[in-house]
Amino acid sequence: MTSLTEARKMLTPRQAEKAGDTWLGTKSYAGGSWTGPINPMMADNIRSDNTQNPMPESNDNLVPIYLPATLNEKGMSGGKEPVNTVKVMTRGEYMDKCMGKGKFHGDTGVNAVYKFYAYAWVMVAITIIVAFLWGPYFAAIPAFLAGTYWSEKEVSTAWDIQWLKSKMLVHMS
Amino acid sequence: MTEQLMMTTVLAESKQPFARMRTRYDYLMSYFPMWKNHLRFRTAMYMCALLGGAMLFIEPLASPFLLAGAAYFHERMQQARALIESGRMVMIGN
Repeated sequence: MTSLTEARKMLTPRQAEKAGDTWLGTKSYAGGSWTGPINPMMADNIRSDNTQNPMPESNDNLVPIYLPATLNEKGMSGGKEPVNTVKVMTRGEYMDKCMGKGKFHGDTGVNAVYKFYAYAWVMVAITIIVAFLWGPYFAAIPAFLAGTYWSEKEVSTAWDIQWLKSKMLVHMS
Repeated sequence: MTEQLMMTTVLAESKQPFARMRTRYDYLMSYFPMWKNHLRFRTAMYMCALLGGAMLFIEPLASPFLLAGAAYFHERMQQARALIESGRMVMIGN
C-alpha cells in the first residue's frame, strides 16, 4: 500500500534542476551527503529517486578541487597552506576582497579599475591643456602618465574582472 | 502517550540544491548593484549633511529637510551594506 509520504511525493512533481547547479553533497565521492550516510530511520524523508547522482554529469560541473584531510609538510606552498585548497569566507569578506575595500592607494580590486580609468582621462585633459599653454615637450609628461594609468586600468580589468570568470565559487542557496 | 519530537534538518527533501556552484564573476555581479547602491546612498548622505549644515547659515528653512534626507540616506546605506555583509558563507577555490 502506498504510504502518505509516497502519495505526496507522487502528487508534487519534482522541481527541475537548473543548468549549472551541482549537488555537491550528493556526488559519488562524497559518500552520501555532507550530513553523513543515509539514516534508515529517516527513510520516509529521503527522496526515492536517484539521490546519489541526480544530475547527469557533464564537464561543466566537474571542477577539480582538493580538500585536504590532513595537513602535513607535503604539498604546502610556502610552508603555510596546501596548494589548490578551498577558502571559506563570508559574503562580506568576499565582496570586500573583490572590490579592494580599504585599499584606495593600492592597485587591486574593482575599485582600481574605476580609479585608473578616471586618472587616465584626467591626464589626457591635462595633456591638452599643457600642450596649448606651455608646448608639446612639457605635455609629454602627463601624456606618459595617461598611458601608464590606462595600462594599469587594463591590468586591473584583467586580474580583477576577467580572471574571475574562470574561477569557481560555491555558496549556500 | 507522549509524542517524541526530534528536530532535524532534512536536506534530502529540499526543493533546490543545498549548495550552488557558480563562477566568482557571476556571484560578484549578482551583488554589484547592491554595492553601487551603497556608494550612491553614502554620497547622498554626505551631500545632504554638508548642505544641511551650510543651509543653517544661508537658508535655515531648508536645513531640516536636508538633514532629514541625510538620516534617510544613512538608513538606506546601512540596509544595502547589511545585505552584503550578511554572514552567508562562500567557498572559493584557491
